[in-house]
Amino acid sequence: MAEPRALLTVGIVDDDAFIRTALGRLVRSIGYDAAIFEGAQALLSYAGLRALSCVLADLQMPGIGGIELIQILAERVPRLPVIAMTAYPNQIIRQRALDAGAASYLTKPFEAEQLESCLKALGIGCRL
Amino acid sequence: MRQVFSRWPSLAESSAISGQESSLPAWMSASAPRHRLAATKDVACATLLILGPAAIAALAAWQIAQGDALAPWLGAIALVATGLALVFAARLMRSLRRSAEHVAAIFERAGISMWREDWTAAGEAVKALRTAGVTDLESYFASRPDELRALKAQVLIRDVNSFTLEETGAAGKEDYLGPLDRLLPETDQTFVQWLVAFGRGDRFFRSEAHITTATGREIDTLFTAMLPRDLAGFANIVVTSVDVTAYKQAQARLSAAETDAAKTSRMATANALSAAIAHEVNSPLAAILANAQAAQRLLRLPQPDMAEAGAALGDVVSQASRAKEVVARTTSYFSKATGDFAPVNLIDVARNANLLVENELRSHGAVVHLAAEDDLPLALVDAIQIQQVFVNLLVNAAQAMAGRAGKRDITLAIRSEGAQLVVDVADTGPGVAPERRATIFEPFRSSRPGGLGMGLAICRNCIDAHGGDIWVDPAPGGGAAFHFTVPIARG
Repeated sequence: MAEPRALLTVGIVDDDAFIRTALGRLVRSIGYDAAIFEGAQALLSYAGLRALSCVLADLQMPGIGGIELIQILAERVPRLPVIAMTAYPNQIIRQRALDAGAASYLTKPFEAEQLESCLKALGIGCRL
Repeated sequence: MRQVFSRWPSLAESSAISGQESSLPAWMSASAPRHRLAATKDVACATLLILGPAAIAALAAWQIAQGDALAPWLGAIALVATGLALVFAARLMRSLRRSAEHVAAIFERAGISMWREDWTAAGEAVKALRTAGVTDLESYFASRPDELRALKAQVLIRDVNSFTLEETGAAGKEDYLGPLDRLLPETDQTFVQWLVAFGRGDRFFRSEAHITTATGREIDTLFTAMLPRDLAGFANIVVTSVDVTAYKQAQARLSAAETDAAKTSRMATANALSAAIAHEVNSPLAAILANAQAAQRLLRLPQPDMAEAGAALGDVVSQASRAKEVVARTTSYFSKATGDFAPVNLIDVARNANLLVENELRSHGAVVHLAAEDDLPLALVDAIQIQQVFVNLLVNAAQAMAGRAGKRDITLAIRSEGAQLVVDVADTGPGVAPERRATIFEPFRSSRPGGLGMGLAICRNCIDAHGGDIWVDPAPGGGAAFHFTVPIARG
């Protein structure tokens, strides 16, 4: 490995196993490392939470929902940007996520380029 | 093929006696009752009153001539008898006057509009037609509008009560007296229903009508009349009429509010449903897209990660199946509720559909005409679905003609052709441009601002479920003509 430093890590929270696995692959293929979580609770109890560069969070999850997760993260780790995702194409949900403190918003399904430019806009360009 | 053109639905209701269509109604052969016994009694009574005293007086005169001492006594009796007869006659006159006043008071002061009408000419015409073997008077007059108009002019209003004047603000009775045709607008269809009721021998007739009052105002009325039992009775038919204009307006407002509420509720359901379907389909699509793009990138690496790309493609396949299942589940859920096929009369289905949207059609100024074959075979259809097809086509036609000058006619024709029934719904609107005809039945193709564009797509869906066809071409009059076919019920 020519690169001495570790890759930036993107945390992915989604209750849909296929989506979180797929997003993990996509994030890695773009050039980040990915940490995958099946729910908000798993992310919040993750030891390396503060080392994450960004969190990609689904809004519709059982237990602690996406909006609540965004609020908790905004309080605990204010510097950690959260990109909210939902499969409901709805402006109100989008506004709620942004109001809760989400840095950005993606409607599923989204293209790799959309995710990439979203991450770049947050100032966490990859090093590949 | 005999065609029946009329504006419908008829709002007439009557005491129809079914199953006796062919036999002549009783009033045609009945003669006015003769009160022979009562007349004999009256003559006897009058005779007693006048001849009694006269006989006694004559007897007294004879006795005077004979020089009988009893003569003055008999004269006195004759005088008393004459006096009694006078008193009796006076009381009779008074009671007669009171009785007449009483009847007049009931007629004049009743809180309901009452009309005395002379329908003799109509009664005679109906009798002549029925005797000549005409059974379907509605069709007969539908093809002879001038004959009908002439008959309408021969119905005479003889009297109206004070309440009629109060209610309509007319200056005097003479504003109403005379031929009926002045009060009925040209579009009136209730007049022919009267003749039908006569021809059937109904005991009473009730219908809604749209009339023009003496002050020129158009009102909706509900009128009722007992029908005569003999031809002589046609000279004096008492018709009561209730002004239901305000009631009908309130009803229309209520129905519009209900329609709005139902529309809102349908839209809310559709929104929730489309959001749920979008979520269920978008989730596997998200996984497919992410996996596919990850695989592309993994394969483009200087050292392609074949294992991970293979896993990603495996997930693409499984998630594509998941999306397919969502769609299959949704369609099977909705197709479960459809298809209650039974033999039904398509005219009834069309009539019900017309009643459902009557207010909307009227608000666009559209008039619906029905043209159907005699002895139309039953159709094997899901009545609710076909009713929806009629509703959508009628409303579409009315909306297409809204605001246009000239006639706004919707002609609905039903005929049998081989093993199918063919329905035409033609309007006098702007028509459908040739390039739009092929795609007009696809969803989301509305040409109306704010329209969702599902109406015709729903029609095609329903007709597809019946194994029929639906298409559009230009109507002979220049508007659009929509056609659809449904199967005829066998056996």
